[in-house]
Amino acid sequence: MSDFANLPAEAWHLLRSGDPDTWKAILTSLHVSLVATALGTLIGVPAGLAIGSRSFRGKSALTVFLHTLLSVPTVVVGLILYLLFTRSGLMGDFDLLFTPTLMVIAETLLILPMIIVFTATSVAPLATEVLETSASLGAGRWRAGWTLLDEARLGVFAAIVAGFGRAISEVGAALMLGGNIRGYTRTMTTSIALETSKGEFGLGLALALILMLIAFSINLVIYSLQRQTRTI
Amino acid sequence: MLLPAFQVQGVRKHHSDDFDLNIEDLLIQRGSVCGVLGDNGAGKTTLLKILAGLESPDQGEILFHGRQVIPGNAGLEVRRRMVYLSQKPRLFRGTVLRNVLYGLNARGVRGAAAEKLAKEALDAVGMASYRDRKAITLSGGETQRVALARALCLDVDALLLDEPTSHVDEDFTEQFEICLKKLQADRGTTILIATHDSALTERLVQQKVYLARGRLIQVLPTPEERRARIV
Repeated sequence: MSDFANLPAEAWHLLRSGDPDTWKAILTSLHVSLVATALGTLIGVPAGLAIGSRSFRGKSALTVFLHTLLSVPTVVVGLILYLLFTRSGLMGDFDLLFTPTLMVIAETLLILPMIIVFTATSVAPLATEVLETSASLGAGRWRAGWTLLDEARLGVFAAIVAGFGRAISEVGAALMLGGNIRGYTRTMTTSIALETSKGEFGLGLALALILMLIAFSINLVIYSLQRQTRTI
Repeated sequence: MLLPAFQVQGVRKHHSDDFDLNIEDLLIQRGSVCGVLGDNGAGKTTLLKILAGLESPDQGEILFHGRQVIPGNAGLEVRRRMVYLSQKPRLFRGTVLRNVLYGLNARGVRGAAAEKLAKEALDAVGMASYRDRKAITLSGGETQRVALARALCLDVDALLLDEPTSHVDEDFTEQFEICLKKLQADRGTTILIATHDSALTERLVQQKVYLARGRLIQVLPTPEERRARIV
């Protein structure tokens, strides 16, 4: 096993040497996570806004259900989608098993409850006051909703970042549905799982370090954006 | 001829565990300054919000200039002819100017025309020099003034003010009264004020509506109404 002290050097060497497998795994991870986060945002933020800002029948039951989904193990989602998309499954004709597309679908489903719940929690305390003020000034539903999101932007940002964090760090569903195919569906997390199973702890840890660095960089950018908007 | 601005017909609204707002019949005269008076929790704010179309009554209906007031997008056209100013107004993020432009932009007024109206309104409340300040940095009194400017710049037929002078100093109260009188004289705007300020009521209000535990206990007509009744 590599010495821990050598890990940064090993990680740097992997990146600098342009190792195609490593780079492809990084790009696949980013591609799957970013597309899933974009889809999760497009669906989850409006859904969270609607749930957090309105009272309706069944809201409590829906909230409990969404909170339950937050703690569903990723392999359960992987298993359900596997059964649906396997050749003999209900959606087998789409031929998506072991493709990045199905990985994106899985990650989107995994992060969706998180984005919905966090967005709803962010807008709920502001909803009455902001929506009433907007309406009293003549804003229609869309403008009022947008204003509420704008006022709760820090929480909404946090929801999206948390979603991205879950997507890029996920391994169970990515492994089951992507199949860890080298140069195609292999991500950083599935690479780490593979290298560890082969006893290549050094390479696994180096990839883990790269994963952490990417997550850190993206969070740093978003945090800077948050700091800028907080004072506006 | 005396025309009503608001007609309240058989309105009931759950107000609290103790009582409901219950108003069988009420007319607010067009172009008048009407005081909605009563103790804390009498239902003044609820009445104003129902009149402004921000809350829907459980029963009954409100007509404004003869048209039904409905919350939501369906009643937007009618609601844009009035503006409600809360007791604790909320300013949105961004500058003071951005806040004052909000209602104008919602009505499709943009660019230089909107900025001109916003600046005039800020000037009227003594906040012209604050236009580029961030709204988050304002004190309670300054927030109240900016919120008033945000309402004043809109060309509306009715202004509904909930305790508008509760956080401002006496100097501003005087300035505020001048603004309202000018608005009433120049545009014939109907002004409803829910207030505890008896001095303000004496100086400004023409029609008085007294509420107690959600019920209308007395309506004192405007001088025009009194004259019309005598004739």
